[in-house]
Amino acid sequence: MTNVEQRLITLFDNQRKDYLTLKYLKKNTQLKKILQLTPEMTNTEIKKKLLPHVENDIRIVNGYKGLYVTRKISDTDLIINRLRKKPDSLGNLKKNFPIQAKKLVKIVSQMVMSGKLCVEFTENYIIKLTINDKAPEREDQTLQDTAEIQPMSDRQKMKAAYDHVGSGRSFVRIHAMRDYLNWPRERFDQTLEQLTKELIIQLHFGDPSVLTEKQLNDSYVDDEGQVCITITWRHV
Amino acid sequence: MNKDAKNLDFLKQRQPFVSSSVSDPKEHLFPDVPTINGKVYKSVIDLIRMKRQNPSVPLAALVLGEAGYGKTHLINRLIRNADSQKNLTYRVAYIQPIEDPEQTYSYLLREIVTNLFYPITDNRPSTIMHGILAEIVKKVLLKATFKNPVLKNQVHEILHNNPVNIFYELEPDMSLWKNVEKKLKTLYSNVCPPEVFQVLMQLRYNDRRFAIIEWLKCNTLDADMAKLLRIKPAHLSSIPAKEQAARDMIKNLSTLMGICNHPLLICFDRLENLDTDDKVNSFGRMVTFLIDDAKSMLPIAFCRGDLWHNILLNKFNRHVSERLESNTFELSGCDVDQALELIASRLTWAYGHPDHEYHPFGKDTLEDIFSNRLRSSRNIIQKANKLLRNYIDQPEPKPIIDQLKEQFRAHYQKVLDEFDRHGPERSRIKRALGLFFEIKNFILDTQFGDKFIDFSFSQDTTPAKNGIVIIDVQNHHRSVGASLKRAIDYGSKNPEGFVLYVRDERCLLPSRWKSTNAALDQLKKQGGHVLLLDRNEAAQCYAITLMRYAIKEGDISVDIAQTLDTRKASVEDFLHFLHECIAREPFTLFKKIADILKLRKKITPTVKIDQKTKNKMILNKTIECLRPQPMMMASTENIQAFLADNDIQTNGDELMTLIKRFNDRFVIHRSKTETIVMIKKEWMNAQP
Repeated sequence: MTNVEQRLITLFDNQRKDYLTLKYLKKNTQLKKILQLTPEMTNTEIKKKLLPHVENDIRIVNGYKGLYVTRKISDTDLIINRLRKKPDSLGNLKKNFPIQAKKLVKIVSQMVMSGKLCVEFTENYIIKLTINDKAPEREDQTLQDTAEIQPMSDRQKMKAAYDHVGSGRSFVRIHAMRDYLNWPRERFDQTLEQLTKELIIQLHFGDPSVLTEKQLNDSYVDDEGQVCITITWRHV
Repeated sequence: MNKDAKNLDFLKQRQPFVSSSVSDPKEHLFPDVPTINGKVYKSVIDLIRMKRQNPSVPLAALVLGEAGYGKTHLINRLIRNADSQKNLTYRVAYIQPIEDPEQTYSYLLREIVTNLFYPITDNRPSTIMHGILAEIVKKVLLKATFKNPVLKNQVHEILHNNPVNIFYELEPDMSLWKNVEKKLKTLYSNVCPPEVFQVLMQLRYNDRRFAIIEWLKCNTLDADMAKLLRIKPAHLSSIPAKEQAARDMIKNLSTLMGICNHPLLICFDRLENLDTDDKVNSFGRMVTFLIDDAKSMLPIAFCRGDLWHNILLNKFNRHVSERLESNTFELSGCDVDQALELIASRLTWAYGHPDHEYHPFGKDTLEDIFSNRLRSSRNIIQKANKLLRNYIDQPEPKPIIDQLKEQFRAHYQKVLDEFDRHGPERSRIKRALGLFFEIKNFILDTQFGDKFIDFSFSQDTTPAKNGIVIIDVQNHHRSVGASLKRAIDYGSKNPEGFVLYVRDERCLLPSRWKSTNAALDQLKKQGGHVLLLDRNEAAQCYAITLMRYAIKEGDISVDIAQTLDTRKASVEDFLHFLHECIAREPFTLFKKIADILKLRKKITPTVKIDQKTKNKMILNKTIECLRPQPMMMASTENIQAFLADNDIQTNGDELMTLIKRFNDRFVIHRSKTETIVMIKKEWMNAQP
């Protein structure tokens, strides 16, 4: 471990954090001195100064607010440590986090599918992510892998598809979820009907004129003959 | 009659489930059910409270919900309760979708001003703006020193009871007003230009209201109006100058809202109608401007969820979408308890008491129907209406085109009833005329490259028909002259082309504008067509445009005869309705245009009909003709023309004999020049 790494780890420990922005390093007197940082330095310049000191314990990554220095732990652990401190919505999580939003959504979706993260609804319908400590330890699972590790019920898979296709937003198109899950029609429709009956999801008619013929076919016609285009998820 | 039969009779008369769409948020026929979307409502109220406490906090919100989930209803609830919150008074402006993106801020200003001049429900001709000004004046008058103790007591009493009465119960020419105006100008000199107070303080003179509204809308005033308001007449010729003036005026209005501590909620509804990228960008500019520059205004967009997430979001600048999404609320469907509560409230309204025990449905039946999923409130009402058909004898649903005719009549009548609130609005007249030309198979070019020409039209017929439409609602002779010049120039270059110069009759051409009137005469001599829209014709245009907004948003439903189900009226249904009806009565304007363009064909009836059937047809069509008319009356000549348009040939004597025979439904008035027929009240809504 280099001297700089040692100091950074101490800084992380003191601040109870796993990551800091590179800009923040300019505020630390000791690091400022060792790395010869000046207040005018850009992130790229700070990175150049820091790189020679990076060995096994820290890494420099690109995140929400540009460049960050983090502990050398996996992205999954970064997320878990952050959410363990405070369960939060995906929208809040992405802010000031050392993983870029698109990548973060993908990882979180996989973690939800694998059961590492749970999704909870607050009274204001905000979706909060929480840690599921009972989940099996494994990283980087894809939707297909997940089935081999821990069988998920169809409704869990549908929820995962909802989160993935909607990227954390509501009013998710049914045809896109059908596409994503690629299930036989009956299996998909039955799961949808069951979740509707249990008031877990809400079907919405929407405007069919905005869909292509295929998208319309892949939507869902309810028992009253109405074409439903999107769903919103209400409860876990 | 036993109790059950009597109850059913109540339901048949009052029709508690007949309409579930609130196409005008300012209207409320049925009682509100506060538990439905109660949490979203509360969150919006909290947001308004936050804005009131700290106007400099940049706030905006987004309410998502599919058609029928209560977006417009929520706005209605916010308007209803604007004065009933504890320690919180706010105002609401409902903004219809923009048509002309080039005039973003001018349009926003016009819509805000129109909303601020919405009447307050009391016996006086006061408006929301009077209320705002009264609150500001109150602050000054309560601290003022009076030489006359009687006057002081009178003023304090008025302010204590209802501040707005200060404009009606004190003489408008009293010296007190001058002092108040002077004080306001001094007090707020660093936040608001003095002329704002100078003009607004003249609201105490009812005859100056039109000029004040025009000034607030940054419309160019003629010399008389300017003199009346004691201001210098200004002529803003370029669009950027007008836009800047509109921005400044919106900021001034926001300042006024801030002074009286009443935040103004700016509700953007029917975003479905933002159908071009320019309109989307224009909407984004309005939102950004309101957040950044109008501190006492709170923009809230109401949008269908699918439309927002899957269409608009891709078009919006991220800066705009993120700011709106910072406070996102989703309207939720009703569970069985809420569904029952909604039905119970309508039944209570119909019966006049709450002890109905869900008669005639029964609680169990309703629970069975509504427990299997979450439903939109509109869907619940529609299902209840269908269910009611099992208990009471209701007429079969009419053909869709007839249902849309009725919807149109309702829109038309509503515009006529509140005519002063509508326009003159060039972009809406343009939208209505554009629809007419489209359904008559003309090719339209709206990008003519000249701001005075609204669109050109062409049709590949023999002989080819083409021309231009100029809609002019300006009140300044230079602008009017410029429009007329375009019309004359086009006519000279295209002697075969049609020139339609359309002007709202409210924008008069004074006789002292000699050169402008000469240009108008020249246009007429050259063969140009001048269409001065009277009250009815302007109302037709506004009603068509507003109804189109409502259709596009899925706010208008129609009953299907075969299944007795209800569905959203589609844009195609609407275009079909217009296609069939637009060149006939009551669309007098479009009939005129069709005649100018020689589009109407006379169809001679091929089937011979007996006298009894003919009489019935005459009666039905006479009622159809009268219902949309103001006061539901028309001259016999107009009725005859309407009948002729509907292929029923009749002479005046035959018509009068028949109308006299059916004196249970018609009243005849004879004026000096013509005979007027009017429908009796009992027949206003009844089926012939």
